[in-house]
Amino acid sequence: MEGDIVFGSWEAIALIVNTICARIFLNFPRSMAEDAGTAGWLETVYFTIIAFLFFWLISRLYARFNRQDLLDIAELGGGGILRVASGLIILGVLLFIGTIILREYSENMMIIALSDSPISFVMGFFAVAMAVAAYLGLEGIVRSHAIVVPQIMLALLFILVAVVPYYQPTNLLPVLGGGGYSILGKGFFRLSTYSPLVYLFLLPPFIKDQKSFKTVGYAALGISAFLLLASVLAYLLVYPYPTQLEYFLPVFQLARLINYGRIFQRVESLFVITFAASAMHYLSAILFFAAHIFKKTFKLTHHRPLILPFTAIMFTLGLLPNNLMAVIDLEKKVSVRFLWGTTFVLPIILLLLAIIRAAPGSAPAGRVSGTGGASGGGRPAGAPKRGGQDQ
Amino acid sequence: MAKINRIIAIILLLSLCLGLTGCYDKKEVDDLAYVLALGIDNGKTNTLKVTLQYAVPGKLGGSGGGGGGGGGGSGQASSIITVDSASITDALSMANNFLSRRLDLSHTEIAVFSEEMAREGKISIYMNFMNRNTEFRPSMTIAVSRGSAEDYLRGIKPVLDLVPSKYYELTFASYRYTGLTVNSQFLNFYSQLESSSIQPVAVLVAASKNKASTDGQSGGSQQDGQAGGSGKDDKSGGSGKDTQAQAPQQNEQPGAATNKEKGRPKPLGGDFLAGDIPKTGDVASEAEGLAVFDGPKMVGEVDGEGAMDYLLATGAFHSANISFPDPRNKKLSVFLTVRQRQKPQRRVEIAGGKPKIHLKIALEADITAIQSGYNYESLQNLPLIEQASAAYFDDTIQKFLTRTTQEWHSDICGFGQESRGCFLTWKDWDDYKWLQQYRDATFDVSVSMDVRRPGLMLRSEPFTSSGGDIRP
Repeated sequence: MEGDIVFGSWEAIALIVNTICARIFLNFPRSMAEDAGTAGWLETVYFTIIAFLFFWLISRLYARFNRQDLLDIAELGGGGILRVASGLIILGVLLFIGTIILREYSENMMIIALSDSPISFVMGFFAVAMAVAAYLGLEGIVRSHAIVVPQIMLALLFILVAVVPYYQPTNLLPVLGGGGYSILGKGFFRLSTYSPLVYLFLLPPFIKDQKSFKTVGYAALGISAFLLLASVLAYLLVYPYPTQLEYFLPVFQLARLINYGRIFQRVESLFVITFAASAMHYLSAILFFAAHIFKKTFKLTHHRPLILPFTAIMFTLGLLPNNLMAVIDLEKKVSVRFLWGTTFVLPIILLLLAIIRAAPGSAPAGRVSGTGGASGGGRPAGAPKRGGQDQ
Repeated sequence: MAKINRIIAIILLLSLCLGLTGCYDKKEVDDLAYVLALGIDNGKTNTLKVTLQYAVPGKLGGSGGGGGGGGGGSGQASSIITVDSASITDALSMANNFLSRRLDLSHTEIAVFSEEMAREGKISIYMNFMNRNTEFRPSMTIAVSRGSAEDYLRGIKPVLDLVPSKYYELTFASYRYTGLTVNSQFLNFYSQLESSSIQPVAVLVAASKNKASTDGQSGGSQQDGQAGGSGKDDKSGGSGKDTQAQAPQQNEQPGAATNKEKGRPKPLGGDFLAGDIPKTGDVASEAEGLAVFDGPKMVGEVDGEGAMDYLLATGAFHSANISFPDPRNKKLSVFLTVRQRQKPQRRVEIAGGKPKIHLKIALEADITAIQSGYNYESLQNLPLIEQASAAYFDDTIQKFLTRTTQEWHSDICGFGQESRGCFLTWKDWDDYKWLQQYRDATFDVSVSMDVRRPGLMLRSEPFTSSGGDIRP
């Protein structure tokens, strides 16, 4: 049975904000310090501006397509081959990220709270949670995001504000930190931080219209940018260079500092809950979209039978890296270098191909003029019905 | 089908609940012994002598009849053990062999290193362990003990606080109203060790030399109970080891003060180093002053007044009672309660390759006492004590800062942080080698003082006798 799920802008915004900002709880602030030192915040501003520019361009191109996701557009641009190729690329990225994140979250949880538990137990804990959530479907995932993400944001902001007494503005000097290349050169690749925006390009079938697409995109980018910048600034203001390079869980380190009198201290327990909630939701979204893309790429009827195999794959692959350092290194080498391409370059190429193919005289089904719905039911020939909520 | 799916989902969710119990990592509070203080000395039979003061939960709240913590004897809220070991972790493991409960460091309030270790630069060896370990708190105090860290810890007998951890918290927060010690949290100490723009300091602590102040304490190091002040009795008790002898520069005379070198006839409250405070009473340990580091090596020690100068220069000063010579009668003093009106304005310029540091400190004060009884409260006379007190601070701070450049070559006040503003990139800053350049720094210190309130007296009138008015 095909579902007919349409959810509001806030649900979509919450989903994307969490997937982008989950890295704050991992090592994003430290990564900025590693790249540009005291100018890590400038680097964040820099690649955020680029992300906005890219999204502006993509949303302009997307304006011609209503409620069609990236795979629909790939099919418009290059037929089944391009759809399968694009689907496999995105699937590969999602599985890679999901695997890395699953292991990284579990390792972090072991360090801060569950030091005696076996890694398989902790990973299994996350894996079962994400499998259950993905099994229940996208609607459950996004509605849960809509409720939990504001709480995660508040908890994060609370931690960042509570350490204000430790802020030392001179920690931001010298202003240019590691220098021009570290900000502009390395910073460009940090565009990958916004790579979860790719989920937005998979969401159009589930959101109302093209206007919502733009609203969700800009709002998610704006909120994420604020949280990313706030977390980097707080971390750089509290921990001086080069100590700021040492801690791989920066927000946890900040939370450990909160100490107001003899009663109000050890607030890192708040971090553990926030961290776990963010991780569960992030991993659930990744697993669902991995199954959904596989289904759509190969025009399968159901996505649910794929959930357990994908969970097993992510769980097993996640155990392969020898240690946490290897996981972080892998993420740094692969994610940072290439993910920005999947999120920003691939959609532009697909959109341009689709526009060229859909030029007057060769308009395929699904070519939309304006924002008022698609010809041919707003869906390209061969594209699945919206929703993707099978049983 | 849908029903089966729901059942499966419920079973999976229930399995998550089982995981939430965290059975692998369960830690019962009843199974743990919480270390409150850690003392680290050079060992005699091994690398280290690690002293652990841990809470005795059953005695907390004074039920043990000991009236609180300290000491280490039966009936006390805390106990002390000392282990000779190769490392801190070894010491913990060894101690766990004879203690029934597992030692836990998550409530450690203070880590005390002996001065000998600090001067040898051995502190840095143990910092990595403390920074990496999730149990140590960033707010833990780092202290340097003049003499043995073991003696310092064994001398602690908090009689006012039933909970020993509260004793440490309150004692090391006293800098907020005395200005005679500093806040040397592990967070700052560690990052300053790594920094190229500021050097670390630590609170200076010591076992008191006034043996009169100690009674025969159980498990303690000082068992003599002789009347103090003679300066003869210098043996520390406890383990029977002459641990006091380890202090390289510790003045062996109780009551020794730093006033003479400052040209003061009599010592003020800030003219002592920890261990030298002339006193009697039960408390056999004390804190005053700070230990100055150049990287991981301790290079000097500063008395209470120097600690106040440090607090003023760094903006960490809250309030303190100070006295300075009366402008009209140098034999008498004027007492003020001083507060820092705003954070000091610190500016660094690099002129001719050398740093020139501008420091503007704005203070305000309430009059606490005017021994001479002179009517300084009047608007005409008020500037006299404002200028005199400002000149007093100006002079002491200038001398203190000069010592940091000439004597210790250590930028403990962190002017390097402001100087980074003179450079665009980290490489430029690094190439300048601030910590080397700092020894050539010059200072332009300016202190302003505004007396705000006169206490309960708006005017001082002379005392009268048959011989007429009396002014001291």
